[in-house]
Amino acid sequence: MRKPKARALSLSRLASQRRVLLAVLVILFLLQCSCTSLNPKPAEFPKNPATFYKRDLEVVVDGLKYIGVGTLPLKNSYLFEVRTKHDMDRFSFTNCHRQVVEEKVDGVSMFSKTAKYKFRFERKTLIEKTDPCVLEMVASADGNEHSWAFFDFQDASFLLPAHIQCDGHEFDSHGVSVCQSKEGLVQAISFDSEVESAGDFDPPTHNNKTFIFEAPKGRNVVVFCNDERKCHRLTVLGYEQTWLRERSK
Amino acid sequence: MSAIIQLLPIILPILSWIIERSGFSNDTKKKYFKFLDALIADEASPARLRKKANDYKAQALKKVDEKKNE
Repeated sequence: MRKPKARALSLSRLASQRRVLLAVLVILFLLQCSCTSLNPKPAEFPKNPATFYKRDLEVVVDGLKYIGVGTLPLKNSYLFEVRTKHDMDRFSFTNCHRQVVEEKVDGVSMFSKTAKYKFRFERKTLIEKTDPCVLEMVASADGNEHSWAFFDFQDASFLLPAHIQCDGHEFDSHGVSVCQSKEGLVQAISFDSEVESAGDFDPPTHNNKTFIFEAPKGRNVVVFCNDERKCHRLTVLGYEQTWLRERSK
Repeated sequence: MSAIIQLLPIILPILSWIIERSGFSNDTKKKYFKFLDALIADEASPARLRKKANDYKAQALKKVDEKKNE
């Protein structure tokens, strides 16, 4: 039979071991929580390609930040940095001439809450340097596309200036413009002189100078030309939904 | 056959809407959407946008010329 003193010592040691075990479990639980919250995943529901989602990928081009869409100045080389708060293990871009897929991207980790991919894009061939050649970008995680971006470029064959009212912003554009809004919302483009238009949709006008239209679904191109044969290219992106991403699990 | 192809822009969104809300497994849905993606990708590609922009420019300039000649 054990002595009472030895028994008390054994009980106290057992209580101490339990406290250590509890502390370890609490630490493990907290670590698990912090790790899962550091890896926000996009919604796992399959993306429906028939649905046109909002282009909202953050892209920094030569130091200028764009959210989802933009018209870039005419240059031979651009430095792109793609950033997303959602995990990314694959990034791809496609233009009229080539597709590049990259899997060596910096995903979300314990040390960075933002997934990044930096690359230099050079317009190498004549195909890319002449005529419209838009750039579309896609970020994916675990095989699911979750963020997109769309860029057009200034073009020497489209030099007609226009004034644009698009999705709460008002700006002047020199020949090429991109306007993204929820489909069905009213946008406008106006010119200093009368123009004729042709495109995926026929924007209504009462004076051939100002065109007020509802953004149709998907990618739509309209070209406006004036008497001097100067033209403006407008791409309207009418999205149906914003891709809902899960912040954490 | 050509009538079916012409009706695809109406049929596909309805079919997609039904499949999205159906009781099929996520795997089956993914397979369907992957197939659909390949089917419609070409229509929306940057190369297609380039062709459209060039065609529309020619059409708009033709309208300008016609107006001048009136």
